[in-house]
Amino acid sequence: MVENKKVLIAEDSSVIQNLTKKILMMQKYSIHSAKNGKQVLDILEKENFDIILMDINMPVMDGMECTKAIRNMKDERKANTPIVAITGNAKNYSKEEFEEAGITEYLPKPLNFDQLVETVKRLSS
Amino acid sequence: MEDTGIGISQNDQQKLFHLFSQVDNSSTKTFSGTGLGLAISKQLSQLMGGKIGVSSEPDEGSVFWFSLVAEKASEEQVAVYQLNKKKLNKAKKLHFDSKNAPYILIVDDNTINRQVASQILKKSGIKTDLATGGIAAIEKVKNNDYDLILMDIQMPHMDGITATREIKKLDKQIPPIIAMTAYSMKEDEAKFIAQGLDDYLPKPIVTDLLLSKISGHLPQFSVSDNVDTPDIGFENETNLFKNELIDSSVLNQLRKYADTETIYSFFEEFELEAKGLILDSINAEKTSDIPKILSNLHTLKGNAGTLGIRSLEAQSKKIEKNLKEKKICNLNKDLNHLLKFFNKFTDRYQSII
Repeated sequence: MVENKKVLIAEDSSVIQNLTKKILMMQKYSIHSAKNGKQVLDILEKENFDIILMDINMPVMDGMECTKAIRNMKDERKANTPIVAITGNAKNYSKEEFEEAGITEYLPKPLNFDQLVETVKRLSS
Repeated sequence: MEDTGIGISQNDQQKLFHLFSQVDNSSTKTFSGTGLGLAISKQLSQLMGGKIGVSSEPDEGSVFWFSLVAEKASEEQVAVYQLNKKKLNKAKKLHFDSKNAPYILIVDDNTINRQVASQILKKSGIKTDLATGGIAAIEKVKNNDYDLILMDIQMPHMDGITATREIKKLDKQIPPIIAMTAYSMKEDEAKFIAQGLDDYLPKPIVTDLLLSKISGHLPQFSVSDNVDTPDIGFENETNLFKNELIDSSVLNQLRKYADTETIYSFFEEFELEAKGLILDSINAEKTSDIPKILSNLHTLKGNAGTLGIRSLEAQSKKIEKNLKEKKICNLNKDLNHLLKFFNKFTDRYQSII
């Protein structure tokens, strides 16, 4: 059942934040939000998530750094949370660089909603 | 302000700007009002370092003018003003099905007011009938079946409250009657409803409010939001985006996951954020803060792309590409185009979703 699945969305643009939030809420996911990488780590300290949607270009702590920090967490359950990068790839990271940082999969911007729903469903089940 | 009305004689023009003065001050005067408006306007324009005046010929019409001293607006202020003006002008487009449209009687002694209300309603697919006063309205209601009545309150011969009372005495089904009046006090609303009116609309008439009140009172009529396909300007600047302000494949995909209201909120949120990003970039251009512009346009490009607003996506992409290649000679012009595309978008998107 997807009803209990928890999604953490890290995104500094409120447009994409709310868009993904509403779409996934319609699919009965429980949604939590963060505006930067630092907030993601704070929330993750307290709770576990089934999947994290991670914008790469964020202030304070970007998605790459944040992903690396998550993968280094002591709690194995938290460290292994699937992380989907959502990115316009402004810095031209290569596929290898994403993999190296520990990103499970990545969705390019502009975001495709079918792909978003499918990816979240697949990786969180 | 120019009109082709009854005009004012030289003699009467001199009385115009005095307190409590009207050209016809007799008790049976045909025109309403307190005679304060022009006197107040005169004081206001004088306080702002300006003047006020009139030139007029009886039976020809009048020209009223005023001046004031103001600081020159900056380019940025003009841009903000234009954005806000666009926002004010755009109306939520409700549209009634032409085969099943409501029939509405507009009662107002003022020709312009009747026409304004009638134009708004007609554009929304509503059939209208007009009455110039309370007595005419009663006759019209006897002989026709309306779905709703818009009633001006202050009218000569018979006011709107008396007319409403008389209409409600008629031996037939009476539709909702909405008061329209410039007495825009909160207490007035309760007062009119206590006097037999069903609802209240302040004047001047605001399209959104008028249509939402009407649709609120007439739930039996279906309202659609697919108004005639808006034509997009700028064809000579680019023909890439013709008729597709929002990529329909993106909209269709969105409709699988969200209802219209939610989709609407996505675009509203985009509008708000994009406005900030664009104005901030225009500002950053003045201080040559290129990294700021790049970062803003990168966000804008991704968001516009995600929502299928191709014109904004493409223009952001174009500027981003030029900046990365250190081409900044057209930056100012390109940002202005971006703002124009954005204004076009905010003007039209509500009728597309």
